[in-house]
Amino acid sequence: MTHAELTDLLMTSTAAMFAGGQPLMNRVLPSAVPAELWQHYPPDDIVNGAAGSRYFYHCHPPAERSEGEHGHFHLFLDTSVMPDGVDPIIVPLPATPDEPRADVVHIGALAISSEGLPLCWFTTNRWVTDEWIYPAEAVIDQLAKFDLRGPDGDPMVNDWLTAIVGLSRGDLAELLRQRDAVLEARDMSGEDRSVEITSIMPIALERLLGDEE
Amino acid sequence: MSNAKMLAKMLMVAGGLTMATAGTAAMADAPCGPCSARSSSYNPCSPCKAAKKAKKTKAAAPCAANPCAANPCAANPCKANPCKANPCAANPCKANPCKPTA
Repeated sequence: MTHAELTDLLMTSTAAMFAGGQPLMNRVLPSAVPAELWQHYPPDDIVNGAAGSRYFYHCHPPAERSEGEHGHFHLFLDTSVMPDGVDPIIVPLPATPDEPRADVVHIGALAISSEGLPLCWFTTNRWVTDEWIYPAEAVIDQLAKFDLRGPDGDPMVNDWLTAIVGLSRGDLAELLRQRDAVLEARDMSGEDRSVEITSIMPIALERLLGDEE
Repeated sequence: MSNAKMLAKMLMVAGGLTMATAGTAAMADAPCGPCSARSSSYNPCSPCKAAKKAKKTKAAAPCAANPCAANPCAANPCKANPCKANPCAANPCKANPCKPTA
Protein backbone atom coordinates (compact mmCIF):
# COMPACT_ATOMS: atom_id res chain seq x y z
CA MET A 1 0.00 0.00 0.00
CA THR A 2 1.14 3.52 -0.69
CA HIS A 3 1.58 6.18 1.98
CA ALA A 4 -1.68 7.77 0.84
CA GLU A 5 -3.55 4.47 1.06
CA LEU A 6 -2.12 3.75 4.51
CA THR A 7 -3.04 7.24 5.69
CA ASP A 8 -6.55 6.74 4.36
CA LEU A 9 -6.83 3.37 6.11
CA LEU A 10 -5.66 4.90 9.39
CA MET A 11 -8.03 7.85 9.17
CA THR A 12 -11.09 5.92 7.99
CA SER A 13 -10.71 3.18 10.60
CA THR A 14 -10.19 5.77 13.34
CA ALA A 15 -13.20 7.76 12.17
CA ALA A 16 -15.38 4.64 12.00
CA MET A 17 -14.43 3.63 15.53
CA PHE A 18 -15.05 7.18 16.78
CA ALA A 19 -18.41 7.36 15.01
CA GLY A 20 -19.40 4.09 16.65
CA GLY A 21 -18.70 5.62 20.05
CA GLN A 22 -15.83 3.26 20.74
CA PRO A 23 -12.36 4.62 20.05
CA LEU A 24 -9.51 2.21 19.41
CA MET A 25 -8.56 1.44 23.00
CA ASN A 26 -12.15 0.97 24.10
CA ARG A 27 -12.29 -1.84 21.58
CA VAL A 28 -9.01 -3.39 22.63
CA LEU A 29 -9.62 -3.40 26.36
CA PRO A 30 -12.55 -4.94 28.22
CA SER A 31 -15.37 -2.52 28.96
CA ALA A 32 -17.00 -4.20 31.93
CA VAL A 33 -13.96 -4.86 34.11
CA PRO A 34 -10.59 -3.18 34.58
CA ALA A 35 -7.73 -4.53 32.51
CA GLU A 36 -5.34 -6.83 34.35
CA LEU A 37 -1.58 -6.48 34.44
CA TRP A 38 0.19 -8.78 31.97
CA GLN A 39 -3.05 -10.21 30.59
CA HIS A 40 -3.07 -10.41 26.79
CA TYR A 41 -5.88 -8.49 25.08
CA PRO A 42 -7.37 -10.35 23.37
CA PRO A 43 -6.42 -13.38 25.47
CA ASP A 44 -5.36 -15.60 22.57
CA ASP A 45 -3.77 -12.82 20.47
CA ILE A 46 -4.95 -11.94 16.98
CA VAL A 47 -3.26 -13.73 14.08
CA ASN A 48 -4.16 -13.07 10.48
CA GLY A 49 -2.77 -13.43 6.98
CA ALA A 50 -0.15 -15.46 5.19
CA ALA A 51 2.64 -13.73 7.11
CA GLY A 52 1.14 -14.73 10.44
CA SER A 53 0.82 -11.08 11.46
CA ARG A 54 0.04 -11.00 15.14
CA TYR A 55 -0.71 -8.59 17.94
CA PHE A 56 -1.71 -8.43 21.53
CA TYR A 57 -1.94 -5.55 23.97
CA HIS A 58 -0.92 -5.69 27.59
CA CYS A 59 0.01 -3.54 30.57
CA HIS A 60 3.09 -3.73 32.76
CA PRO A 61 3.15 -2.74 36.42
CA PRO A 62 3.52 1.02 36.96
CA ALA A 63 7.22 0.78 37.79
CA GLU A 64 7.89 -0.90 34.44
CA ARG A 65 6.09 1.59 32.19
CA SER A 66 7.49 4.53 30.35
CA GLU A 67 6.20 7.93 31.45
CA GLY A 68 2.55 8.46 30.56
CA GLU A 69 2.17 4.92 29.20
CA HIS A 70 -0.92 2.83 29.82
CA GLY A 71 0.27 -0.29 27.99
CA HIS A 72 1.56 -1.41 24.62
CA PHE A 73 0.85 -3.52 21.58
CA HIS A 74 3.39 -6.19 20.70
CA LEU A 75 3.50 -6.84 16.96
CA PHE A 76 4.96 -9.90 15.30
CA LEU A 77 5.49 -11.69 12.02
CA ASP A 78 5.71 -15.45 11.75
CA THR A 79 9.25 -16.77 11.26
CA SER A 80 8.07 -18.56 8.11
CA VAL A 81 8.16 -15.22 6.24
CA MET A 82 11.91 -14.95 6.70
CA PRO A 83 13.71 -15.79 3.47
CA ASP A 84 15.75 -18.92 2.96
CA GLY A 85 19.43 -18.25 3.30
CA VAL A 86 19.02 -15.73 6.10
CA ASP A 87 19.91 -17.19 9.47
CA PRO A 88 18.72 -15.83 12.81
CA ILE A 89 21.26 -14.08 15.00
CA ILE A 90 19.78 -15.45 18.21
CA VAL A 91 17.39 -18.36 18.53
CA PRO A 92 15.04 -19.38 21.33
CA LEU A 93 15.30 -22.63 23.18
CA PRO A 94 13.81 -25.53 21.23
CA ALA A 95 10.10 -25.99 21.64
CA THR A 96 8.80 -29.26 22.95
CA PRO A 97 5.59 -31.08 22.13
CA ASP A 98 4.40 -30.38 25.65
CA GLU A 99 5.18 -26.69 25.45
CA PRO A 100 4.54 -25.51 21.93
CA ARG A 101 5.80 -22.10 21.06
CA ALA A 102 4.71 -19.54 18.51
CA ASP A 103 7.75 -19.00 16.29
CA VAL A 104 7.71 -15.27 15.85
CA VAL A 105 9.78 -12.25 14.88
CA HIS A 106 9.00 -9.16 16.96
CA ILE A 107 8.84 -6.14 14.68
CA GLY A 108 8.24 -3.65 17.48
CA ALA A 109 5.99 -2.56 20.31
CA LEU A 110 3.64 0.41 20.20
CA ALA A 111 3.12 2.16 23.54
CA ILE A 112 -0.23 3.83 24.14
CA SER A 113 -0.71 6.76 26.49
CA SER A 114 -3.25 6.84 29.30
CA GLU A 115 -5.34 9.07 26.99
CA GLY A 116 -5.41 6.38 24.31
CA LEU A 117 -2.89 7.99 21.96
CA PRO A 118 0.18 6.43 20.31
CA LEU A 119 3.16 7.35 22.47
CA CYS A 120 6.27 5.64 21.14
CA TRP A 121 7.68 2.66 19.32
CA PHE A 122 10.27 0.44 20.96
CA THR A 123 12.15 -2.80 20.39
CA THR A 124 13.18 -5.39 22.95
CA ASN A 125 15.80 -8.00 23.71
CA ARG A 126 15.14 -11.59 22.61
CA TRP A 127 14.13 -12.95 26.01
CA VAL A 128 11.37 -10.39 26.40
CA THR A 129 9.13 -11.83 23.69
CA ASP A 130 10.77 -15.26 23.19
CA GLU A 131 11.29 -14.35 19.56
CA TRP A 132 13.73 -15.39 16.87
CA ILE A 133 16.13 -12.47 16.38
CA TYR A 134 16.92 -12.02 12.70
CA PRO A 135 19.26 -9.36 11.34
CA ALA A 136 17.52 -5.99 11.20
CA GLU A 137 17.84 -5.72 7.42
CA ALA A 138 16.15 -9.09 6.95
CA VAL A 139 13.24 -8.06 9.18
CA ILE A 140 13.00 -4.65 7.50
CA ASP A 141 12.69 -6.38 4.13
CA GLN A 142 9.62 -8.22 5.43
CA LEU A 143 7.84 -5.32 7.16
CA ALA A 144 5.63 -4.68 4.16
CA LYS A 145 4.11 -8.13 4.69
CA PHE A 146 2.67 -7.14 8.04
CA ASP A 147 -1.06 -7.10 7.45
CA LEU A 148 -3.50 -7.90 10.22
CA ARG A 149 -6.57 -7.68 8.04
CA GLY A 150 -8.48 -10.95 8.13
CA PRO A 151 -11.20 -12.88 9.89
CA ASP A 152 -9.63 -12.92 13.34
CA GLY A 153 -10.38 -10.02 15.67
CA ASP A 154 -11.99 -6.59 15.33
CA PRO A 155 -11.68 -5.50 11.69
CA MET A 156 -11.26 -1.84 12.54
CA VAL A 157 -8.54 -2.49 15.10
CA ASN A 158 -6.83 -4.74 12.57
CA ASP A 159 -7.06 -2.01 9.93
CA TRP A 160 -5.70 0.60 12.32
CA LEU A 161 -2.70 -1.46 13.40
CA THR A 162 -1.94 -2.48 9.82
CA ALA A 163 -1.99 1.17 8.80
CA ILE A 164 0.16 2.52 11.60
CA VAL A 165 2.76 -0.18 11.09
CA GLY A 166 2.81 0.59 7.37
CA LEU A 167 3.20 4.30 8.00
CA SER A 168 5.95 3.65 10.56
CA ARG A 169 8.10 1.30 8.49
CA GLY A 170 10.91 3.86 8.27
CA ASP A 171 10.92 4.38 12.03
CA LEU A 172 10.73 0.66 12.70
CA ALA A 173 13.68 0.11 10.37
CA GLU A 174 15.76 2.60 12.31
CA LEU A 175 14.73 1.05 15.63
CA LEU A 176 15.59 -2.47 14.45
CA ARG A 177 19.03 -1.31 13.32
CA GLN A 178 19.58 0.33 16.69
CA ARG A 179 18.45 -2.87 18.38
CA ASP A 180 21.06 -4.90 16.54
CA ALA A 181 23.75 -2.41 17.51
CA VAL A 182 22.71 -2.57 21.16
CA LEU A 183 22.67 -6.35 21.16
CA GLU A 184 26.04 -6.51 19.47
CA ALA A 185 27.52 -4.16 22.05
CA ARG A 186 25.81 -5.42 25.17
CA ASP A 187 24.20 -8.84 24.84
CA MET A 188 24.77 -11.22 21.96
CA SER A 189 23.12 -13.97 23.97
CA GLY A 190 19.77 -12.19 23.95
CA GLU A 191 19.21 -13.42 27.51
CA ASP A 192 20.69 -10.68 29.71
CA ARG A 193 17.83 -9.56 31.97
CA SER A 194 19.53 -6.19 32.44
CA VAL A 195 19.05 -5.47 28.72
CA GLU A 196 15.34 -5.18 28.05
CA ILE A 197 14.44 -2.19 25.86
CA THR A 198 16.91 -1.97 23.00
CA SER A 199 15.65 1.12 21.19
CA ILE A 200 12.83 3.63 21.53
CA MET A 201 11.36 6.42 19.41
CA PRO A 202 8.57 8.87 20.26
CA ILE A 203 5.66 9.05 17.81
CA ALA A 204 4.74 12.39 16.29
CA LEU A 205 1.42 12.07 14.49
CA GLU A 206 2.20 15.10 12.31
CA ARG A 207 5.33 13.42 10.97
CA LEU A 208 3.58 10.06 10.66
CA LEU A 209 0.84 11.56 8.48
CA GLY A 210 3.05 13.96 6.57
CA ASP A 211 1.37 17.00 8.14
CA GLU A 212 4.71 18.63 8.85
CA GLU A 213 5.43 21.84 7.01
CA MET B 1 -7.87 20.92 11.33
CA SER B 2 -4.81 18.86 10.37
CA ASN B 3 -5.06 15.10 9.95
CA ALA B 4 -2.86 14.63 13.01
CA LYS B 5 -5.08 16.74 15.25
CA MET B 6 -8.20 15.07 13.92
CA LEU B 7 -6.65 11.64 14.48
CA ALA B 8 -5.69 12.46 18.07
CA LYS B 9 -9.13 13.84 18.81
CA MET B 10 -10.83 10.70 17.53
CA LEU B 11 -8.47 8.33 19.32
CA MET B 12 -8.67 9.99 22.70
CA VAL B 13 -10.58 8.03 25.32
CA ALA B 14 -12.97 10.15 27.33
CA GLY B 15 -11.79 10.24 30.93
CA GLY B 16 -8.61 8.36 30.06
CA LEU B 17 -7.84 4.67 30.26
CA THR B 18 -8.30 2.92 33.57
CA MET B 19 -4.98 1.69 34.86
CA ALA B 20 -4.67 -2.07 34.89
CA THR B 21 -5.02 -3.86 38.17
CA ALA B 22 -3.09 -6.85 39.46
CA GLY B 23 -4.08 -10.04 37.79
CA THR B 24 -2.29 -12.49 35.57
CA ALA B 25 1.27 -13.33 36.54
CA ALA B 26 3.97 -12.52 34.02
CA MET B 27 5.63 -15.42 32.29
CA ALA B 28 8.97 -15.84 34.00
CA ASP B 29 11.11 -16.29 30.93
CA ALA B 30 9.27 -14.22 28.34
CA PRO B 31 6.99 -11.67 29.95
CA CYS B 32 5.91 -10.31 26.58
CA GLY B 33 5.84 -13.57 24.65
CA PRO B 34 3.04 -14.43 22.26
CA CYS B 35 0.24 -16.77 23.15
CA SER B 36 1.48 -20.23 22.29
CA ALA B 37 -2.08 -21.45 21.89
CA ARG B 38 -2.20 -19.33 18.76
CA SER B 39 1.08 -20.54 17.37
CA SER B 40 0.36 -20.03 13.71
CA SER B 41 3.66 -21.52 12.73
CA TYR B 42 3.82 -24.28 15.29
CA ASN B 43 3.74 -27.69 13.77
CA PRO B 44 4.52 -30.76 15.83
CA CYS B 45 6.60 -32.04 12.97
CA SER B 46 8.68 -28.91 12.60
CA PRO B 47 9.51 -27.04 15.76
CA CYS B 48 13.14 -26.62 14.88
CA LYS B 49 14.73 -24.42 12.29
CA ALA B 50 15.93 -27.25 10.09
CA ALA B 51 12.53 -28.80 9.94
CA LYS B 52 10.96 -25.39 9.37
CA LYS B 53 13.10 -25.00 6.26
CA ALA B 54 11.82 -28.35 5.05
CA LYS B 55 8.28 -27.23 5.74
CA LYS B 56 8.76 -24.15 3.61
CA THR B 57 9.74 -26.23 0.62
CA LYS B 58 7.00 -28.77 1.16
CA ALA B 59 4.41 -26.55 2.68
CA ALA B 60 1.46 -28.61 1.54
CA ALA B 61 2.46 -31.77 3.34
CA PRO B 62 5.44 -31.26 5.61
CA CYS B 63 5.03 -34.47 7.51
CA ALA B 64 4.57 -36.65 4.49
CA ALA B 65 7.73 -35.27 2.99
CA ASN B 66 9.79 -35.74 6.07
CA PRO B 67 8.08 -38.29 8.26
CA CYS B 68 10.63 -39.87 10.49
CA ALA B 69 14.20 -38.88 9.95
CA ALA B 70 13.72 -35.38 11.24
CA ASN B 71 11.01 -36.20 13.71
CA PRO B 72 11.43 -33.69 16.52
CA CYS B 73 9.69 -35.66 19.21
CA ALA B 74 12.12 -36.26 21.99
CA ALA B 75 11.67 -39.99 22.14
CA ASN B 76 11.52 -40.35 18.37
CA PRO B 77 8.22 -42.21 18.27
CA CYS B 78 8.80 -43.11 14.66
CA LYS B 79 11.45 -45.62 15.64
CA ALA B 80 9.29 -47.30 18.19
CA ASN B 81 6.03 -46.81 16.42
CA PRO B 82 4.88 -50.15 15.04
CA CYS B 83 2.24 -48.69 12.78
CA LYS B 84 2.78 -49.24 9.12
CA ALA B 85 0.89 -46.13 8.18
CA ASN B 86 2.68 -42.82 8.09
CA PRO B 87 2.96 -41.98 11.81
CA CYS B 88 3.28 -38.28 11.27
CA ALA B 89 -0.10 -38.14 9.65
CA ALA B 90 -1.57 -39.21 12.93
CA ASN B 91 0.75 -36.91 14.88
CA PRO B 92 3.10 -39.20 16.78
CA CYS B 93 3.77 -36.49 19.32
CA LYS B 94 0.41 -37.18 20.82
CA ALA B 95 0.07 -40.15 23.07
CA ASN B 96 -0.62 -43.48 21.40
CA PRO B 97 -1.80 -42.29 18.04
CA CYS B 98 -2.33 -45.81 16.72
CA LYS B 99 -2.43 -49.35 18.00
CA PRO B 100 0.43 -51.81 17.50
CA THR B 101 -0.04 -54.13 14.58
CA ALA B 102 2.44 -56.72 15.69
